[in-house]
Amino acid sequence: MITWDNYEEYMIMHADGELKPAEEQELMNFVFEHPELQNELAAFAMTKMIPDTTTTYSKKQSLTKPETKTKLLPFGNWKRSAIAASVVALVCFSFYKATERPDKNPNLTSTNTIANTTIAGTTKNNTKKQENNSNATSTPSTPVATEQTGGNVAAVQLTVKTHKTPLKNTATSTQTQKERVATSNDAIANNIHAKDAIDKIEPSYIALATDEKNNFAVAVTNLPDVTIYTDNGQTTQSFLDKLPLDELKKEGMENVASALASGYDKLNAIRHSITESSITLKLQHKKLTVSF
Amino acid sequence: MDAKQYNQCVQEWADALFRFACKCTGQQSDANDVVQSSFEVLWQKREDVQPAKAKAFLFQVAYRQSVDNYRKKSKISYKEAPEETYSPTNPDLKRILDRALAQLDEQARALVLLKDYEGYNYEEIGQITGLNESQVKVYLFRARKILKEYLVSVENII
Repeated sequence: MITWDNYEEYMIMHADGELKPAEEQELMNFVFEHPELQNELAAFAMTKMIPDTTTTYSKKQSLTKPETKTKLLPFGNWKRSAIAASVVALVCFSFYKATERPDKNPNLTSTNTIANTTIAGTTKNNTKKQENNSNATSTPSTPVATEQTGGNVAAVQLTVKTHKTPLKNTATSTQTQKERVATSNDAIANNIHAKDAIDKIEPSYIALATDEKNNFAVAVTNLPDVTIYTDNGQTTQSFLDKLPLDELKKEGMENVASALASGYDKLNAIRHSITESSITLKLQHKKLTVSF
Repeated sequence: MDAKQYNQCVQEWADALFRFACKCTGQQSDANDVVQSSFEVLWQKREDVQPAKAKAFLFQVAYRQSVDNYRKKSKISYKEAPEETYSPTNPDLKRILDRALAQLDEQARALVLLKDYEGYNYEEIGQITGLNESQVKVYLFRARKILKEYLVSVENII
């Protein structure tokens, strides 16, 4: 309650804007009842200082600090990137599993699988003769595997190839290979050229094909035959015969091809399952779901 | 608080802090030092100070430096503010108010400036100055009475 003893306190609080609405009204009523206090109320109100906004600090630049700009990495289309990364990871994993050594993976030595898998020479023999007599320069008429990148996920188009020559029929014995290497300089040269030919093999020469009849994937090679010029004349041999590999390694190649075919099937199954799946990430309290 | 937010504080509060320091110390050179050291302290403590509290922190540092330190060293000799910054509406009142402000001690002057210039309430002024709310109220009460008496006496003289 405002009295003659505390009215100044109320007037100062009024000047400071600290009175509540009820107190404000009470003060106004008190001043109304005592008009001689109106001048005092006005005097207290005049004690309020007014800031002079024309006075400014002119050395602001000396106070500022250099700002380190944070670089934001553009990651707008992250869904596509995530899908692409997943596919690449799956392909790499499948390839790694497929290229494991056969002796470390007992499943790869299964003869049942090998029976459906052949490594054959090509049906075409574009024998452009070169001076070194052994370089394989033929190119396949149609690649057995092509990669299309039109969509988000790379698709593999497969073509069925006729298996012309089974590996087991064309394989030569290890003993014979060793004798050739040991006794003939020409054979050594041929081996070197064959190694060069291996290095020049394009990826499209080795691919997977689906056996439409049995509905499983098989591995084939589209390697060209090699024409060899010897003292006795010109002979044509399968490219694999000229490879400086022993029988065990060639069987290993069969196993690799088999594993590749198996890996392809698994990869295909995974790819199909991905199309009907989703990935959910939890970041603290936020949940992010990516549906494929 | 990062460098960007700190620079934003400089742009936003340097002028107000300078005006406050000018009135508290009475000299522009001292006010420059106060502003500079206040922002230097803010930069050093930027990890602990939230941007929303930066203004209060700056005025707290400026208050201590311009009032406490100067008072302890007995170096303060208040001079009237430069006369080129008068309000065009009522220049006489502005001049009289500046003279009236010079009648107050350093602490009362700082409290009046925090109240009138920056609009802080009693509680906020208490947080800045380290006083409790009742003390702020009492100091402001005394300061207003002194200012009012000065204004009334000058008015009577005029």
